[in-house]
Order: sequence, then C-alpha cells, then structure tokens
Amino acid sequence: MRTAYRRFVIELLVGLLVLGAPKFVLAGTMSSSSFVITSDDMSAGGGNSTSASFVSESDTGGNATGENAASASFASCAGYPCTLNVSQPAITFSVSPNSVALGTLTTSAIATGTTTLTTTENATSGYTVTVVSDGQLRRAAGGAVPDVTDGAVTIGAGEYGIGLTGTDRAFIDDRSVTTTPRTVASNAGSVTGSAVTVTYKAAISTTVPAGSYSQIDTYICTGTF
Amino acid sequence: MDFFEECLKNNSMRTNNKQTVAKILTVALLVATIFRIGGVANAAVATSMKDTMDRLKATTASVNHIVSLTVPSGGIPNTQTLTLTYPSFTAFAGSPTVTCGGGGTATATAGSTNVLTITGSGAGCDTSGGAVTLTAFTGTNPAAGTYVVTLAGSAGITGTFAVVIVSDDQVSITASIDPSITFNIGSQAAATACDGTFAGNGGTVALGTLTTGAVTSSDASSVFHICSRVTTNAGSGAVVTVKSLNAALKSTAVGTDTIASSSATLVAGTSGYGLCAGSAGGDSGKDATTPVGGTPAATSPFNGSCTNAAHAVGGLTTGAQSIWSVPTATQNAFFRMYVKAAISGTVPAHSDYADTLTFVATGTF
Repeated sequence: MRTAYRRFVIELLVGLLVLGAPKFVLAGTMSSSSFVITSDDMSAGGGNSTSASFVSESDTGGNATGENAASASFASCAGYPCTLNVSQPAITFSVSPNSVALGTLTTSAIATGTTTLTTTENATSGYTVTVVSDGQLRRAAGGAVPDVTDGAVTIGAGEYGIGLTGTDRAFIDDRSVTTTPRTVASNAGSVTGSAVTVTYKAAISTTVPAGSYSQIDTYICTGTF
Repeated sequence: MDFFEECLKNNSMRTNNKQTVAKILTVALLVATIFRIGGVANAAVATSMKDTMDRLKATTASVNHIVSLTVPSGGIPNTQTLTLTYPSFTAFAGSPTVTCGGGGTATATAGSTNVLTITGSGAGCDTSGGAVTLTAFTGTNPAAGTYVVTLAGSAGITGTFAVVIVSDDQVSITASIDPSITFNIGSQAAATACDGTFAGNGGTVALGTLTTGAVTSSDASSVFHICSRVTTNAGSGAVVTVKSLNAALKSTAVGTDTIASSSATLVAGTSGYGLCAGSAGGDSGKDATTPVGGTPAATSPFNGSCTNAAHAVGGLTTGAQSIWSVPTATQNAFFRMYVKAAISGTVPAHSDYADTLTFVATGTF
C-alpha cells in the first residue's frame, strides 16, 4: 500500500506539472521568426472568418465556441479554442513618377504636374504619408516662386503649392510644401492600393525672376501597428 | 483506474495521509499558477508601434528614426530590456533618447548593426503602461522592400511592426521662367499723371521761348514732362539710361550756338540745361506685386531736388548715363523726368535750339 500511495503522489505531481507547463511555454515556443503555431488543440469542424488582414479560426468539436467578428481591419474570436491568426505586419509604398516638369511658367496660366502616392498596409492604426521639401521652388541665383498661403494657386499671382485627389487625401485646398513635414495622406485602418495624386501647381507674377527653378520633395510613409 | 480503486478501498491509508496529500496538492497548484503567470507576462504585446524615418530610399545612410510604441502595464522594469531588431538595416548609431510617457526612466543604445535596446532604470519605464518614444538614432536603409521589426527582450514585451523601404522616395520638381522686359518712354502733358499705367512712346518736349527771367521747366507753363515705365523679371533688376545727341540745346542753323548741359541747380539768368528725375511724392513708384518688386531709385547726377519749381539737374552727355534703376525684378516701375533750361542775356537768339534724348532700359538677368 505504501508503494501504491507513493506512486499516486508522484503521478499526481507529474500530472499537475504537465497541466501547468503548457501555459508557461505558450508564448515562448509557439512562434519564432520563421514559423507560427496557431493552435495547440486538435478538434473538428468549424471554419475561419477572414478579412483583408486577419483570419479568425473556430471549430465545432471543442468546447462551445462563441461568435466571431471580422471586418476589413480587425477580427475577434470567442470560445475555446479561439486563435486569432494575425497576418504579418506589412506595408508597401510607392511614389511615381519621381520627377515633375512644370515647363515654362507664365503669368497667364497655372502650370501643373502630378505624382501619385500608392499605399498598401495592414497596420492596426493605419498609415500617414508626409511630404517635406528642401526649400521653395527656387533658382540657384536667388529668387523663388512664393508658397501659396491663401488656399488657391491663382493665375497671375506668384504662388506655388500642391493640391490632392484621392480617398485618403489630407486636405482639399492648395497648400505649400515646406521644410516642415506636412501630412498629405492618411487612413486609420488598413488599405489596399490607396492612391493619392499630388498635383503641383505654379503661377507667377511678372516679378518672379526669370531662370530655372527646382525643388526636391521627400515623401515618407509610416504605418502604425 | 485499478490503482485508484485500490487506494479508495483502503480507508486506513486515506485517513493517515489525507493532510499530507492536501499539502502536496497545494504546493503543486502553486507551482502551476506561477508558471501560468510567467506565461501571461511573456505574451504582453506592445501597441501603436511605428518608426517615422526621414528617408525611405534604399541604401540611404544616416537616416533618422523616431520610434514610438505603447507598452502594456508592467512596462520595462528596472534592468529589464526591450529590444527592437531591424532586419537588414545596418550601421545603427547615435545615442537614442528615451521618453517614458507614462512615467519613469529608461536608457537606450543603438547597436552597431541593427538592434535597439531599451533598458528600464530606476523605478522602470511606463510600469503602468504608456508610450515609449526613441529619438536621435540613425541607420543605413537596406534594399527596397518591407521589413518587419521584432520586439523582444527580458521585459517580456513582444510585438512586430513593419517599415517600408522604396527605390526612390523623392520627387524632383523643375520649372523655368523666360526672361522678359517691357519699357515705355515718352512725353506727356503736365496734367497727365505719370504712373504704372503709362503706355506712351516717343514725343517731344517743347520748352517754348526761354527767358532770362525764369527757369523753364517741365510741368510749368504747359511744358511736357517725360514719363518712363519698366516691367521686368530680371533677377538683378534694370537700369534706364539717357544719352544726349548734343550734350546741349543746340541751334540747328548755327551749330556753334548752344546752351550747354551740366549738373547744377538752374537759376534764372544763368545759362543751363539738363534733366532730372522727379523727387516729389508720386513722381516714382511701382505696383504692389508678389513677390515684391524692386523700387525705382534715381541715379546721380539726376537725383537732386527736382520738381516743377526745384531745378537741380544732371548734366547730359553724349554718352549713356544711368538716370534711374531698380535692384530686382519689378512690375510697372515708373519715373517722371523733368527737362529744364535757363539762359543768360548773352545766349544768341534762335528759334531752333534742340536736342534729342535717347533712353534705353537694360535688364540684368
């Protein structure tokens, strides 16, 4: 009997440790840089709720499961086992074309040119694109086309700025591009191929000096995950 | 199950060892609970993770990073670490500054390759949760692509976020403006304003009959003045020059009879002839434009006191002399100019004293 009792205690301790140990190793060994184990339960039935960024798994063979919810930017699952297979964070961004030639500016027209910013991301809190310039649209010998300040580039006025089109554009009027970053596009959720077209606009008065003008703008896309 | 049945049948054994089994069970449960707690801490995931860089172009060196993320309750305890590994980035450098938005302190180091390490100090950083911001470190971007930054470290905070590197993140904007200049010069009646709308060209200034009793001047006794207007986008402005055919009022019939021109303040009874740029308010000006155009200014020796009653004139020569100029591009810059003459009693009488003035506007682009 004494031997049987010892056997009982040992088996009990081993059983408890086996029950506790998986909770300890769950976060440490369920994933690595090269793989993710999304479930430690073998069950049956059920299905997945999917969106652009997430997959919510469920089953019918385990304990009772709750309702799953999913949208373009989030997903949740309920019940046991409930595993949320979140996609790897991802973001792509492009600026094209990388040069805009406004041609010869005149006092009788607004010269325009465009570039397009295209973003795809699955960030939890979306993305932001900012633009910052290396200075005014200027000539090497001095003199610049003044930045627009009144919300609209106007024929015959010495004004230079950008306008935006696209769902994620940050403003609807004409604004300057300066050495201080300005947000030009954003979205609070995930997007696929969101395009914002930046239209450069320049108009001159007769007092804008003749010559060759240039400016370099840098676009930065940041996702918040 | 046989074992359990055997045990349950033995009441004596159950009685003797009940307390001991309960103690063992309690200890075992505590062990299991501790392991569970450890597991939850290791699963703490940061949120609102982002890295705002100042360049996204591939292989760009010395790119500035500003990293911000929100750590969960527990934060980064003293001496514990939170690491951020940037795959394929290189040459991390600088002395990152850590701000613990929820309170506390931490230090950070930028490894020589691609790992940032934040170490809690003092009472820890954001132990109740909060934003962590890192600034002042740089690195070299990898090739174009998407890179997943991984959070790890002994503080048990995990997470991943992505940054994008592109082949080109800049747009070069170019434009040109052709040089232009317009110039109007001509005579007009005294009653007609000389301003930025002047559009005349050429003409004559008839001084009439000169006498020893007065200085004959434009805008007096119906003598015309000369108005000039310049618009140019010459970056270095423009200059208006005047050249006299004779450097004097000269008799057409008797060429040796002249009223010589020299710089002086003309007085009645003393022979003299010259030109000056008006010095009264309204004699010169320009349009209000953007950018602000250059303001016209008279040039010596034509910049003396000059009205229809003030007679400081500049001497005219057969060579071109600047009479007024603008320092930069300008729109509708104008200047009124006065022609003046006086004679002494010895100036031969003729009805054909004349001179021809030629004005030229030159822009410097």
